[in-house]
Amino acid sequence: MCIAIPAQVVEVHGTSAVVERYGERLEVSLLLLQDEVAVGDFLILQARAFAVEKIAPEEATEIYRLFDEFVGATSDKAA
Amino acid sequence: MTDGAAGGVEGGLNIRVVVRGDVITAVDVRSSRPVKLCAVLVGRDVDAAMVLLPRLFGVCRIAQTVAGLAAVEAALGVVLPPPQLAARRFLVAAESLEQTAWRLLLDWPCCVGASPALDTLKRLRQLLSILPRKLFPDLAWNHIGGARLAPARADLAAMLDQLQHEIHQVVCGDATRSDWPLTDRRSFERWLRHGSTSAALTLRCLCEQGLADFGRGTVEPLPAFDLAALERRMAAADGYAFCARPDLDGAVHETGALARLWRHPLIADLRADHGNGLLARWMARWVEMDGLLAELHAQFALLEAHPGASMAQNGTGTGFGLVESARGCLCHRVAVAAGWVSDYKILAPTEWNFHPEGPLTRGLLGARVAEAAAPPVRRAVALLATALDPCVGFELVVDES
Repeated sequence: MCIAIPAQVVEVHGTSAVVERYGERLEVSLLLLQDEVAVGDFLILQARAFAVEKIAPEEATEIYRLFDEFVGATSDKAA
Repeated sequence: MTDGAAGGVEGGLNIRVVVRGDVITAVDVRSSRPVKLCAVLVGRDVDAAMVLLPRLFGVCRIAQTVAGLAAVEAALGVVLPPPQLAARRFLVAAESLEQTAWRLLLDWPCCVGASPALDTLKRLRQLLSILPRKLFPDLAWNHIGGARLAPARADLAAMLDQLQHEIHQVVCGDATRSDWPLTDRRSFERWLRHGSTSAALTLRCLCEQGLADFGRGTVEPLPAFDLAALERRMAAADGYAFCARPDLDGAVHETGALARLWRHPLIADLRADHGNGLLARWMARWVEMDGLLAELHAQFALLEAHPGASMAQNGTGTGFGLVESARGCLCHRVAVAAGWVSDYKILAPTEWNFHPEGPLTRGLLGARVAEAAAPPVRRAVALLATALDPCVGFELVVDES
């Protein structure tokens, strides 16, 4: 499935950021993102390497809730 | 896609390749992607399900949404008016263009050590991101039966011109349209030898590294098939298992740009010399860029204002939606009872192309890796996997012991 789980920004370093989701940290490029990014924002990633979209916290929460519903997980996520 | 990036919450692909001497003797492809995730849509009313669908499936989001809407509309007996259909097809083509550009301008140059055309990709993405609001002023276009459609024709025409210019620049540079290398073998060879654009340099790197034939195999392209039969397979009790490892009458097929352009004159010519290896596979993506631009123009001509909200007729309660997305044939199958989703299945192109008996496996088994002298085996295999373009990351293990 072509699933895109949001990741929350925990550090910003110029054109890259460290993001976290479900306890997993990734360093991603912000070069292809059109929006400004700050710590706490939620990003959609492509290929686990590039941020491609910033989404609203409410939307991220909804996606986490759906995914939790599927996997039965309730902890360790970035939200 | 990034080698070494399998797993994570979205799942991924694990590819193991065994090399003995100078031959790949075994290939094992395993997927941990959660094909049952779409089951979270079951038990929701269809309108809510269509809102959630693009949130869950954010890669090729537009194609997923259009396939889902088509399936639900078929189930409800909603006939989509032509302008709404044109608008959706326009958006699918735009998304495919963006995804294809990503592979061609960023992933593939990096794979062969050429420079990515990052600025062009950024400009293309920016242009393409504006398109939906130039069609649907209310932005939320993912409504059953369509949404208020008010195409800003002058703006869209200007954007299409700019898209065409950007793509022409990255393929041909300052050369004229008559030098477009995507039409016949002679112009292609001239462009490949002398071209100085990112596209030409990337393909030249591929050929110089002896990889033009790498990955050629015997898997046939996905043919026109019986939609009703496929829908029955997806609806069956073992439908999720089928969606994880699909076949047509026992045969596994390839889907995507190369399959769609199998008989295109240039691609057929390249296949005759190089099989369905990396050169034909990569060139098919470039040719398809041209086709996607043509599709955008064709659908643009059909756009007109429409209020949306088409009425439901007597649906059968089950429906099937098919979209040709950037990565290939994407199918959704839904069952609806009294306005609620009672079954939902998705068959994604990655399941065809990374099937354990699919084009990756068949393209690698028996491949002689010594011929690919410049790059190590690992890099050649990663190139083929990237060319087959999974929608998740993959982890590659090469056993050369």
